[in-house]
This record gives sequence, structure tokens and C-alpha cells, in this order.
Amino acid sequence: MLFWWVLSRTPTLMTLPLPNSNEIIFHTPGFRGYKTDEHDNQGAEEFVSISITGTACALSCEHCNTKVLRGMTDLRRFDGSLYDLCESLAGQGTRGVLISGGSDPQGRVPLLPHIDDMKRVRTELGMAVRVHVGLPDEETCAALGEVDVDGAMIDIIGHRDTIHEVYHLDADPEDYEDALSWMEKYKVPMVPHIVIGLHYGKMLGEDRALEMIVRHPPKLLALVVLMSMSKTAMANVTPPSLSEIGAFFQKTRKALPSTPVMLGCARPMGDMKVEIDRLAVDAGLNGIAFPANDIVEYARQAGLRPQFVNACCGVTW
Amino acid sequence: MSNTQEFKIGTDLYSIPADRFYGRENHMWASFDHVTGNVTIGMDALGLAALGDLAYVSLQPAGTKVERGESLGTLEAAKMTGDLTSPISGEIVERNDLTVRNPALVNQETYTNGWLVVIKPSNWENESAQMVNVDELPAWVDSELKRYRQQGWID
Repeated sequence: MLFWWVLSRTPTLMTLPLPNSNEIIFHTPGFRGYKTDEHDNQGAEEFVSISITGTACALSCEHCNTKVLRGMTDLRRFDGSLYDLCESLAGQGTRGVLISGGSDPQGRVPLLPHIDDMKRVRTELGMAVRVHVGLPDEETCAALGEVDVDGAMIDIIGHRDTIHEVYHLDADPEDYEDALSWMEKYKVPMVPHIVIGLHYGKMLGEDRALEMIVRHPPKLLALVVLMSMSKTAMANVTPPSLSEIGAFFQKTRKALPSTPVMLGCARPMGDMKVEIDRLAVDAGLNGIAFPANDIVEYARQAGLRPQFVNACCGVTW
Repeated sequence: MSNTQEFKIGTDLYSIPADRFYGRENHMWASFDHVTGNVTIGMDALGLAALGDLAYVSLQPAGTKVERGESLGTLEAAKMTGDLTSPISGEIVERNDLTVRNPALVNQETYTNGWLVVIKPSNWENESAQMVNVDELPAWVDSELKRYRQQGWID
């Protein structure tokens, strides 16, 4: 009986859209309320983001300053283990979790103490488990290979200056390629992200990041665009131009013709978001997180069949 | 009783003035003008702190009739895309195009120039009685801070 219950709740990858298909998936994970004329995620509790470090992060990157961690469920404030928290969430209808957190001084999200809990969340609760890994070491990648995670999300940075100046991290692009190699070696499904304009709004390491990812074909690639946030060092930074963003969408599509490419959660809001989302549809990206209003109709008019999933890019139920 | 309820989130100090009413869950403020009989509507600091940076606001035009709980317009913020719900019923007689053009104004001048709409109320006496008033303000702010922290919406 338990087997069937778990099976029925286990996410399947069978409907992940293939490039060149006529489907487009709109993702609305539950860490943001989302209601437009075209979709309502009902304050989705289906997919919950958990920070294992609360708002603590050793890096406090220039573009984030820990703000991304705010709004996640704080494990430190829960009286119990990660498994206990997920079990409690399952009772409220949660089907998947993103295990995230701040980084240690080496850039790693400290996942290792929670590996056994994550295994139990998969096997006993049947939840989809996504992780943010930061810049993982080999030990973490090997451990994640035992968890059966749905995907490991990692920002790939292609220029040393960005790693040093924006992430305050003493590492090189080669370290990111090592991380991709280890995840490949231990069969961890990779969900790399490229942040377009991460170097203070300028295009710098994006091409190299894409080259590295092409050498280690991922489960899917998520593209995001620098979003200036208040109370960060990049609060007044202008993101790359629409033509630069659109060109990089096209370049990525050509570089990874058989890999799903999604437009992820982060990008400038307001009018620019509408334009970015249209560029994503025009470039043939396979999904968009938190689409701007009217983009679903725009995709329909482009001959695409929209689907909605209240979870991170690439998770399907 | 102080005329402003202050609270801290992290190191930032916020305030909720006691000279108006507040929606218990939607964190919209309502300020009654005894001369015109109209009510100015905005969003309070605690609601805004949970939403993060406001990037886009659209508002219904003057002449639109709304019921309490219905949409005054939409917003897009760092942590939410959705409706701005009205704390009262009535007819919108004015909207603040300054906040439509510059949504950051709502964050920066929350209780003054960051207002959203002015409504000619149709049931002010009954509906204002259901909102948070000056006597309830301290306890309500404390309980909302607790709720928001439990939800992970604020530090």
C-alpha cells in the first residue's frame, strides 16, 4: 500500500518537454504568491523552499546579500530535523521541496549533515527533492548521488572576476567545471543556471559558462537575468539590454539543441519582464517561471501548448 | 498611546501610524477624510516588508465600483504577483498615477505620497468596524509579526 502511495506521489520526468516540441511549461514554485489573469498558483504549498541555514550565508554576494533566502521556510526555526519538517509539510499537501541555504566560506551549501534526511524524504515521503548546491565539493556530489534528487541547481560562473568580486569567493571557473564533472560522475541530475548580466549588469562570463555546460550535458539549463534588488550592492545596476538577453537566449538554444532550456525565476520585473518573456518564447525556450501577464496567450499564438506546474523548472508531477 | 506603532525587521525600523484603519490580513490601510467623506487606501509597512521590492502596480480607473475583498488592481513584487484587494466597498474616485509610474514610491513614502486609490465608501461604518483600529494596533502588529516570521516571510 505504501509503495503505491509513494509511486503515486513520485514526480515523473516523462512529460519534461523536449526541445522543438510544441509544449511550453510555466512554472510557479510556492515560494512566491502568483496570480495573474492566466494562472493562479493558489499560494501553492505543493512545492516548498527550505533554507537549512535560515538567512545565514558566508558570502553575502553583491547581487543578493542573502535576500533570496528570506521567504524560504527556515529549518532553524523548526523544532525537528529536515525529515520531520518535510513530513509535516507532506501532511499539508506538499509534494516537493527545494533544499537551499546560504553558503559556507568555500561556497558550499552545507548539505552533508542532511543527506540521510533527504534520502528518507525521497523513499518514505516520495517527495521531489531539489537542492541548491552552491559550489559543491566532490564529497557532497558523491553523497547527492545516493539521494536520488530530482535535480541539483548550481549557478555556473564563467569569469574569475565575477566569482571574486560578486560572489566574494576565492575560486575559478575551472572549479565550477570540476563541480559539473563530479555531478556527472555521481549521476546527479544537473540543473545549472546562468545569470545573464551577473557582473554588475555586464555580459562577461556567460559564453564561457555556456561552453562549460555544453561539455557536461545537464538535465536542463535555466537562464535567469540579473535582477537588481534594494539593499544590495547592485540595487542601482542596469541589467543587460534586451538585445543582449535575446541574443544569449538564441545562442543557448543553438548550443543545446536537445536539452530543455528554461527561463528561471529571477529577472527584472515590470515592463522589461514582459519583453524578456517574449524573447524567451521567440527563442524557443521550453519553459518560463512566473510568466508575465499575457505571456501564456503570447505562447498560444506562437502555436505552443501551455502547461502549468507549481514547482521549480523541470519538476513535473 | 503612541501615535505610531514601530517595529524592527532585522536592523530596519518600520512604522504603522495609529491615525487610520488596517485590513486584518491584506495589510491595506484606510484613512477616512472627515471633510469629503472619502477614504484613501494604501498598503502598510509590514505587508510591504513581506512582499519585498514593488516593481509594478496597476490600478483600476476612477468610476470602478469595488466590493470589500475585490481587486483594486495588481502588483508585482519580489515575493508576489497578484491582486491588491480592497479593504472596503465603494467607488474609486481617484487613483494615484504617480505610484503606477513609480511603484517604489509605495515602499518609500508608504503613508503619504505612496497611496493607491481614493474610494467613496458605501458601507464605511460597518466595514471600518471590522478593520484594525487604534486600540487593537499593538496586539495586531505583534501577532502579525509572529505569523509572518513563522511563515518565513520576514526575518
